[in-house]
Amino acid sequence: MLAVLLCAARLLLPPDSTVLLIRVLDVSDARIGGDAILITDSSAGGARHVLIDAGEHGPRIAAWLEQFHVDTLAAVILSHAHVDHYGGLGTVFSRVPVRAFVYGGTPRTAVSYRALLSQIGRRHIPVVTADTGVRLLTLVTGADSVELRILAPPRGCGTLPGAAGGDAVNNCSVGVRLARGTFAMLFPGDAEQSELGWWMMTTPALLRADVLKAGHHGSSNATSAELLDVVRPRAVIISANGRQHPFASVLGLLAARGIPTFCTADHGTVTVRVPRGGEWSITTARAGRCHARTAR
Amino acid sequence: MPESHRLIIDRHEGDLAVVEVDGGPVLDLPRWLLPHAARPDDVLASWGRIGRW
Repeated sequence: MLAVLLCAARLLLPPDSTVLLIRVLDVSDARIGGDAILITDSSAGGARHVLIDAGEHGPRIAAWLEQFHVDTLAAVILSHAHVDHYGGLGTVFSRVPVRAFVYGGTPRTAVSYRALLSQIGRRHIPVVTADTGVRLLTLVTGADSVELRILAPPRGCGTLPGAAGGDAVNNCSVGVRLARGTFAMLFPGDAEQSELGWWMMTTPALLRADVLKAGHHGSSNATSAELLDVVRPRAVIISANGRQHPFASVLGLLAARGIPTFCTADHGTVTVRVPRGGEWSITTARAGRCHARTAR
Repeated sequence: MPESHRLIIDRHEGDLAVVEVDGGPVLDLPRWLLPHAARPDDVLASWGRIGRW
């Protein structure tokens, strides 16, 4: 009888009930770029979710959240204020309760961005402006905890002038370093050499990670030999829709170092599984290999 | 009759400019279509038809 009950209890648990899952979602209906990463920490007692960016199209990200049974987001982190990262957030906020919103505070002119910030205000969602130093968010699920360290952009991003160049917003990305036990993963947003260099100078220990979500969709201005020397990733995931990204030079650099690389444009959603007390692994929605979309 | 539109540049990606049109949809436009000095966050007025191609 007891065995039957134990089996029944086991069957009632969702298949990934005791693991940390980091899903780099396939948002390839976005025209260029596009990032959306769903972090789910589960135990038998439930699950906690954090979303980093939401791609460009609300319906697409809403479908993903529904598929993965996300009923509440413990936090939404916006890496930076480009529409391929915040465009889907309005839909997310209107469909799912969100406990906190974290961003870098960079101002933009775009009507859709200002409307998003107004929506967050109207919904009274607590806002954390990660504009200095390193902030710690701890995701607690039962006996498990996941630490998210928020790396602030350099000073001046909060008052970025309207005439700033396009790279300036990328270089005002909020970085995230996820750590659970001995596993770590780094999400640098679209940070380019300038901001990455600043982080390498100020917080190099926080860049070391087992898995790197490549910056700026696999552009050559965001993945360098110097960065790889500091991060020392054992795998790299590139979120890109495949129209322009990733760049050939980045794939070449990673291949030369023998670092396994996964691209949402070619593999679909890429999932990092971090079981409690076991080795982490990566699975993909489709078989395939990364293809460069820009020759340089 | 030409239509008037308000374009706000979100960013440049290579030869393309990603622009928000009238506070709503976002389009990729060839950079050469925009004024040479146009930069992200600039607000542009345009007259004519805008669509996907």
